[in-house]
Amino acid sequence: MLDPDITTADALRHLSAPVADDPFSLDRRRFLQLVGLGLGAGLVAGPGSSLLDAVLPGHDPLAWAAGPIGPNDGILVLIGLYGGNDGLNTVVPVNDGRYYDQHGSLAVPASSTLRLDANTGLHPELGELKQFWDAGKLAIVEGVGHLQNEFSHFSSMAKWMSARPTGLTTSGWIGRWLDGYLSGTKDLFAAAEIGHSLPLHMIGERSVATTVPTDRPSFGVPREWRADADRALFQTIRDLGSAGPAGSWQRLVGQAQIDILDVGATLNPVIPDDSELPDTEIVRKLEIAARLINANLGMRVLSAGYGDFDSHAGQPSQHPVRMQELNSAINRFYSTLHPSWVGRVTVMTFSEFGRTSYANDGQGTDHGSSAPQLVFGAGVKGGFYGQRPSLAGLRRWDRMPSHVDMRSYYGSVIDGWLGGGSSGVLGGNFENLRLFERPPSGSGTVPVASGSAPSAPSVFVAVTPQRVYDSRNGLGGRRARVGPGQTVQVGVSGEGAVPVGATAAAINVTAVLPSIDTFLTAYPTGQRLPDSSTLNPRPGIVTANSAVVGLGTGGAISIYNNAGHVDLLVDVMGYFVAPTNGASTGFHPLSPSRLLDTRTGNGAPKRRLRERTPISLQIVGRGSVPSSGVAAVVVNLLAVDPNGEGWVVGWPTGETMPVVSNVQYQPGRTVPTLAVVTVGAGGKIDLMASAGTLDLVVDVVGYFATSGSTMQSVGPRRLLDTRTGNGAPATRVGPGDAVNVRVVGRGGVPVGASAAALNVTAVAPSDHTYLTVYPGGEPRPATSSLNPDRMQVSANLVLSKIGTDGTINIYNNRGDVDIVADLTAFFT
Amino acid sequence: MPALNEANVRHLLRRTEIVDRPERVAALLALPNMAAAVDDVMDVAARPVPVSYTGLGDNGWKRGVRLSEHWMGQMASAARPFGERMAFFWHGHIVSSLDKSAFAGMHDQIDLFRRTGLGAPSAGGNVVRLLKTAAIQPAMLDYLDNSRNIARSPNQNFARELIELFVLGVGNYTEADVEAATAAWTGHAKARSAENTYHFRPEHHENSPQQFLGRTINAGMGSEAGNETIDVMLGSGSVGAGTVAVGPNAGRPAPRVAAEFLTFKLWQELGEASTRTVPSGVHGAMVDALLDHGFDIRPWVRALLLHDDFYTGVAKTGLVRQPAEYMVALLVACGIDAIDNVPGWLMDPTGQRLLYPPNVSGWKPNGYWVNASAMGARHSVANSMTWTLARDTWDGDEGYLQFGPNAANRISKRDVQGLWRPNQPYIPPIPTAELVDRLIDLMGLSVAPATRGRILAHLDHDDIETWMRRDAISLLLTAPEMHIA
Repeated sequence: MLDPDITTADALRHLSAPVADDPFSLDRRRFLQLVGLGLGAGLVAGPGSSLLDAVLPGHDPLAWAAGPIGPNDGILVLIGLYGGNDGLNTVVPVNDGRYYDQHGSLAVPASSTLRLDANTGLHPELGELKQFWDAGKLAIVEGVGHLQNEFSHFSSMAKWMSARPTGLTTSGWIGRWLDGYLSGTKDLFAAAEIGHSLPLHMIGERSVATTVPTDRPSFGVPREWRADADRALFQTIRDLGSAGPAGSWQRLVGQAQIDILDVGATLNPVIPDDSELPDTEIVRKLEIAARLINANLGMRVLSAGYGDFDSHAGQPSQHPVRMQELNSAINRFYSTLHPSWVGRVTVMTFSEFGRTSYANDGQGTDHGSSAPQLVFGAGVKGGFYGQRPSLAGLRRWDRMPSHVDMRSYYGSVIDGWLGGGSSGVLGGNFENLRLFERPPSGSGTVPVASGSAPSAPSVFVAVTPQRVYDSRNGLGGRRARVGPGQTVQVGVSGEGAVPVGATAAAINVTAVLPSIDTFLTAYPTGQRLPDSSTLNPRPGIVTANSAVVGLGTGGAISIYNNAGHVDLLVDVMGYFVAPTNGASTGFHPLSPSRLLDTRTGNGAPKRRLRERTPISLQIVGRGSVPSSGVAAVVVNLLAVDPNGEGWVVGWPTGETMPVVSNVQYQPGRTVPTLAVVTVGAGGKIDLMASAGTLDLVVDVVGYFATSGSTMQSVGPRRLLDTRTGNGAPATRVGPGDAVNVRVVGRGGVPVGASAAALNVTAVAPSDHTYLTVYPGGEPRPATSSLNPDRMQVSANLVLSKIGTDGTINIYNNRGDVDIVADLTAFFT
Repeated sequence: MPALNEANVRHLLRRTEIVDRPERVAALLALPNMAAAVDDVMDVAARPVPVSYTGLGDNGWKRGVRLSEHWMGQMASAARPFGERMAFFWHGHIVSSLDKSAFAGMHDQIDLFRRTGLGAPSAGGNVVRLLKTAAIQPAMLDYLDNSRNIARSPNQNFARELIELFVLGVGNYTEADVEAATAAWTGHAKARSAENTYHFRPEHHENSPQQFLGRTINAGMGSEAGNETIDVMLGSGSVGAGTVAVGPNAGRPAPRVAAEFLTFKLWQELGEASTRTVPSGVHGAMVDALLDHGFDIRPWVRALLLHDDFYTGVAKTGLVRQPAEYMVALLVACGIDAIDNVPGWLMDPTGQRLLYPPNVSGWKPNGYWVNASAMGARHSVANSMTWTLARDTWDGDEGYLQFGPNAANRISKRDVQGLWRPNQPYIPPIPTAELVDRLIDLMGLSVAPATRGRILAHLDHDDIETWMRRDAISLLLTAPEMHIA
């Protein structure tokens, strides 16, 4: 605990938190660290009196008072199907002749449905849900309704939302859950309705959910050309909003205006521009929901609705579109949601009531009573629940009976996923349907929608290194730091040197001044966000890494930032393209060998490299690199013990030095980075450091020449994680030990593959050490692939030859360490 | 009778004419008493100004935009806007939407509300007449699918909403009543050849008599059977008033239940929507007015506006301006003509767009609007209006901010932010207090002293440069009190 008399400046220095220009760059976790350190003391005394106000000027203290979302806190996503969904056409009773009689021309032919069992098929548009069903993660609760069958929209919707069949409906079930969760504190980000207005189910007796717009908000973020004046303006708005008698509508309007500023500033970096969001309402809303979860704002419930399901007429043209939209929305949600959240999320549908079984003559159906509802997610226990209402004896206008009280449906989710307390929320005890096979947890999976097949075999073409993205000046995208849980798109092919049709690119990704520890993931645009990482930036330093990434939709790659805010630079070093007739370069992997070590005089004089003083290094003809025909080499560049902060760049001898960097270094840290460098005059490359002096080590791991292996990139796959026992035992790798990882036969790597591109991450080594990656079955070379500092998380791209036994080894020199390896490409 | 003082007059005007314009405040205060003031406010033009669609071709969407801009413009500039305001109430109560109904039909429906929504009884200002006329207009026939309601395949949509949402309220009817009303309403459709014309098709009408709220209807009544349902509920015509058979109102006459339901809706629209009840005094007066005058509209509205319960603190602070009302207040303050200045995309994010109610129950009051994203949208609307406002006019060296058509409605930019000219001495702007007071006067606002003081403090802040002094305009227009009706 800190001395409460510590000065603001000292405390901030102690926290080593840069006081950012944007006060809301401090996210919830950081805030709670401050509170934990006792620095939140005094915040209840009001604005202007606490340290927090220095760090978050103008913040509302109560806006952050709720607890953090823990690894076992479940998140619920509600999808409202407004207007009354036709349940019979959603979960189709394919063997029931009465369905075909009564629903007439509206009925879905059995042969079109997605078969779940002998008696049931899903609407043909619901492919995603079929996958959930096959994976055992879709629960279909049949016959859900409420006891008093009134078929008006509004009273029924009110009953569904309030979960109170009788009496005044002034609050709804999630709202009342929120009352308990917040217990009088205010939290703008505990529950969100994505849309313009708050539906009843998101309104409590004391608390309400926050409405989140479906566009990027900007009000609340100071504009550059008048930043100080905007801060003054926002303060004036806050003051005007706090005037007025407590509890009056004027005061509530004022508070909503203050909330605009808080919500706007927080969500501005999280919600992308309109051009990057889908047009279809529910798909857009669910993408935003996933981004909100990724941003780790503490949301427990997100709700989104769409319509119109009220098909009294014209149903054949309406309902299939609604189903297709729902399916796309589910796909988009899980594609955007980071895999680390999947284990904590459950999605459920609700709709006011079903529709009649008998069609009317307007090609529609009328308000019904009961309908099936769908619950799916990583923790759901798939199967049928409730009871399928019988169509026997129904006459025209009759409604199907209900078998499951909606309060039982809600209560099962509250108790099974939102931490319990359903009887308080619902005013009674209702049967728990036991929809979940386990509680929320940090790990969990859902079916992958579309497998990402490896790209076509490709050859490498080096280019003059070129910067394609820089968030500091708006090159390639928005001029803004990348926010928490946010993905930016980087156009690669068709921009400059990389042609349209390139399958992958060799890039260098640099993260500048992240606000907190985070990780970045680079992956092909359009693919599902993978559970892998490319880079592990830490505050206070510049971190870089190379990557081989497949090019996705539009020839672009996507880069996801997990937490905090960070500036991002992307340089393209070369690209991969399907080979055409004529000269093409393939990859030849080598057992690593050391070509340069200024500490020992290997390859250059035994003397530290001085800033701005290039050296030339002979590559061709040394260390198994052949003496001719070599177009480019793949080298691991290691900056050892620099005494300044700067970067190292390598380029072909005889050419102009390009304006890019390969390795970023800080004083005292030893940093490796993989680089692909075209070989220049005399078979040499030039190397230069920008600042200070340092020792430089270069290990060669392969080269590009005619008739080598072609590369195929894959959506990143995690092949090794010693923390969880993936690919090797769940135990840290000790000093002098190596872990053997099977590569062939996993992640799509075929027999005969010669090399793999892996992003290898060392997690919190107990001592300063180095890792060496080398082919299985070969002697360990005197080279290094990673040089992690004690207790840090650091990553490097490794291009490793694969042993004849289809494996690679990763050796750890000192202490013990966890190791993670993500595959992004292989060579055959 | 409530006292005729400034506070009460402003309240009356804000609820009926949306904005308490200074000249209207002065005019009403000059009258002998509050009854005269209420009668003045209700003395709306016999015929509202018709909308012109010239230059828009046949495009239904464009015409819809023009109609809603014209209507809002009339709310802002008509001599007696209350008629337009009542039309807005009916639009949210007897609901159809341009989303589903054809434009020609929507035009006719809105025109009906504007002409008769607060009309004299002889001019159709009566709930029974209003419902009967609207029920067979093509807009309603489309919106609630009654045009598809035929004997061999009934469609209950219109009949149910008529009973539940337009007349009696939830829980006051049985499913059998809905089926009976549905049968009575069969056969009403649009003429095939001209889609905007009503046509009754006897061959689609269900002819068997029906029991509705305890009365026999549709016994050989053909096209009049639908109107019988309205007569049974409101006690008009000759079929006899019905009786509610279920729920908390079981055994009570339907007309009384209907009068209470309609009174509740109008109270929530003009009185307050905080307590979800109607004070018993004004409730009794309004219900009696409806029942005693066969559901004429003017006596009912007069009973509300002249009752002491309308002038309590709870009533005066109990309504948040709907987005359309806020927009009208902005139009009046900035002196901007609505035509071509209020596009649909601007209103959409506020949650309200005229001619597009979200569903058949219309818009909900107060809490529905008060959240960050809807309020944020109003900010965008206000900013958009102030950009429109700052149309530069030049007169020699001068530029002006124009708050209306005349020289009296403007302030020079020199006064706002000073004037630099090459080789000439700098002309400083007027002092902040004088600036704020000039703006308040130009916009016709009435601003609480604390609000004025805080805005002055803002302009005097170190970080505010002279060219930013026009921030005062948007601060005045977005202050929380501007959102209170």
